[in-house]
Amino acid sequence: MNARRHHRAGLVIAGAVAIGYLLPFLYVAQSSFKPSALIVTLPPVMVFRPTLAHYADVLRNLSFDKYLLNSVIVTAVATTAAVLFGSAAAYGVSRFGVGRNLAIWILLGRMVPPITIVLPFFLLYRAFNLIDTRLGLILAYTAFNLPMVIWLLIGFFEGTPREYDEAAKIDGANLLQIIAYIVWPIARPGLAATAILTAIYSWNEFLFALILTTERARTAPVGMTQFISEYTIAWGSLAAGGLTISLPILVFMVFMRQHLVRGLAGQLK
Amino acid sequence: MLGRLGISRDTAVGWALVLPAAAVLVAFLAYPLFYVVYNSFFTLDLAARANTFVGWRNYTALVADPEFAHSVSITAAFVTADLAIQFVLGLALALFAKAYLDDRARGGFVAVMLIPAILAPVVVGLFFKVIYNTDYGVLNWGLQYLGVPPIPWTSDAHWALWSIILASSWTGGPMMFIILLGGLLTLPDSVYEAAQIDGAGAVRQFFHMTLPMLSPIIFIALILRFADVFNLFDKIFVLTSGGPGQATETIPMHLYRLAFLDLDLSRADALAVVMLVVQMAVGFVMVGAIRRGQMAPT
Repeated sequence: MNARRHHRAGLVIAGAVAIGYLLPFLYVAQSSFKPSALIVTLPPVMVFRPTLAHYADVLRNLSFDKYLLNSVIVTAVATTAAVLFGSAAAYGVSRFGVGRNLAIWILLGRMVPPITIVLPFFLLYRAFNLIDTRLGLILAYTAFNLPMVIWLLIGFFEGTPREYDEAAKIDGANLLQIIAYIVWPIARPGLAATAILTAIYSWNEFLFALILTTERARTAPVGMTQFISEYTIAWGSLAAGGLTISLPILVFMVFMRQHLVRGLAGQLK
Repeated sequence: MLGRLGISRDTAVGWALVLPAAAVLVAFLAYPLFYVVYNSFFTLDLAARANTFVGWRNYTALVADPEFAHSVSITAAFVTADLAIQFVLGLALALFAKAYLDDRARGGFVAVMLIPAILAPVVVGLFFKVIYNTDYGVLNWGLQYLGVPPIPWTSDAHWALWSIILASSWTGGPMMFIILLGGLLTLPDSVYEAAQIDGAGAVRQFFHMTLPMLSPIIFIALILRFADVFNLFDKIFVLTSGGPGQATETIPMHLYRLAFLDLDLSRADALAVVMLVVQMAVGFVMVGAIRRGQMAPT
């Protein structure tokens, strides 16, 4: 009885803390559905007829749709590439023992401050005509996510039993078949966690997209800055654009919660 | 043929698997790093495409400039305050989640609290900027009920750094929370039962048992969080751009200004190397801790 009351009090507090904590996001998010006239009124109007006008504005008038498409392409290709290269390397390390003693140093690659190498990227990309191309961003994001991908996947592959690989080998499967049909399916939760994390980092990335693109290959996070200047805020567009960028991530969180939390918590077991 | 070179077939296959990733890392991570270190010993003349070797001169020029010392002290204040807030917040949430929630409720709570940590930082920064707005922001509106006059959060030199610390710890606190919660859940219950029999109260248990037992995890958590806070760029960029004046010009913002606004590439390269050395030193400490087995990374 006592324990149960304790439990219920915990749930109530947890709910209140979570809602209170997310209030800054929820407040701006709800204003994306407000008619322009009501957005800046204080105290905030809580009852209003929701409108999608700001979303229509953002998607139609401000080339934000193009930026979103760039974001989708860059994220999808970079995530696929990082997971492909990363799982091959992680498999090599975990099954063939190649560079096992070196593997831990790959963690340092993950800690390189992005701002310190964005300048050489800019100079090199200018020389190779990669400025303002999606390919340029894809290459940068693939490389930047690889250390994390390799590191997480080594851990997940070590957790899958070797016996299956060997059995398949005896049955005449070649290496690629073993990876595709044995290792990937068994390590699927780990692969999913890794891929989701990579996708989120690529989707949210700002600094490289800011420096290495100007217009054609510009991504949505950088596109957000057009809604604000020193003296004006395009309040409705900013809220609608921000929520549009956040939506895929929130969907991930709802449907793939376990994978995502596993990936984020993967830094510590 | 490989056998004659003393390389077994398995090792060769292993290297073949590692090679593509290694090539990408060398071309797009190691080479740019080498490039920035190399360039920091030259002056670059982009127009003439001529480089002159100048030894440590870029570094001495960088350090002699009071703006460098300024950015270091801003960074120190920012990182300290931000990590302190994240730690207190994360620890409070973790203690609560361990004591009051069962496994299922805890999973849901963790998922919801992690939402700030996975939103695009630039979106978080912009949303906070809307909330901070002096005249129309909901924060000043709320504060007026407490008798607080309107505060120019992002445009006043005294408040600007605090507005960044708040926006940064809002996303960092939950990250600290899951790391510390993971540590808390591994502490053995038996020790607490013994303490209860000995009549130790909750406060004494916390300071004499929980904190000491948790300290290795706290150490790792602070190191992991340090990287994010030390490198923070996007939120500062949209909230204050390092201003007003240079009130929030942390090292990354200073580096951005040197490289892309002042176009002082030599000094920017030197600062980048300084930043790299600091971050890598912290990284070595982390790798050392992992090797000693204080931490089992996945």
